[in-house]
Amino acid sequence: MSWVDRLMDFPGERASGQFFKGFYDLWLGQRDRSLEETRTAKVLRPNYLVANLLEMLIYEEMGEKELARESLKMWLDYIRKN
Amino acid sequence: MEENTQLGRYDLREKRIDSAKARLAEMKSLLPEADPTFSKDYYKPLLDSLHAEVLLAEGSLEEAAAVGKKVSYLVDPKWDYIIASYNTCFSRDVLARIYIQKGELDKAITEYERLMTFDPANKDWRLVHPKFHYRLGILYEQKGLKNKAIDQYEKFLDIWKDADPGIAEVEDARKRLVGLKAQ
Repeated sequence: MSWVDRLMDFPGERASGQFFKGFYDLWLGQRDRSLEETRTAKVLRPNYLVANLLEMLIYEEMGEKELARESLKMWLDYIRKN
Repeated sequence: MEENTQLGRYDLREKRIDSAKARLAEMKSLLPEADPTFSKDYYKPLLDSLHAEVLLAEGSLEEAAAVGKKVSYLVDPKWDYIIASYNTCFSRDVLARIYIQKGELDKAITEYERLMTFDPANKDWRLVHPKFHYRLGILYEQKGLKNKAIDQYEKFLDIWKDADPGIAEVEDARKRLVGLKAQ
């Protein structure tokens, strides 16, 4: 994960770094931490499209169907508007 | 294309096969009009993956295997969007799961072994999901390959040593490992 920390030092890339941390945490079965990282990425970069997808996948892994559907809807709403 | 991919994938999770098939048909109709920069390397593998998953879900296993064999990704690892969607949208082991459904365990084992062996000539740079170790461990166990099964369960449990508590695969792998070591 050291490259992610280095990425986060670049101006404007903090959100990407948070996103990648969330992605790798999910990959390692750390769903709660993954969700926190992904939510932080979304705060740092509003309308961070792929972060909504990642959030959906985290909820799916957690068995939270309704929340997964909401994240998918956020992603869809954004791409349909843009 | 991406919208239909995600919705089709979601339909399959919700067991709505007809809806997923309708999205697949729309994707096929859209592919010729898609931006050529993306159509071959990005959209086609997503379409093939969804197609293989749909066929697997409806039990058309021969056709699913034929489609599963031609799924070919070319991943540019520079984009966060591509890395995330390629690695998480469809599980890379669709062909192995088709073989399991067909009862062809040897072929499933070969496919998992192929997926987990680094080949520098292969341009598909998708990550190997840690769960593949668990799934391969089960296949080895079913074939009576005890030591190989133990090795895969240990790898899986090592990679997921900090995983959240209560994950079914982790608990099952622990039980299976204890059982195999006690034999």
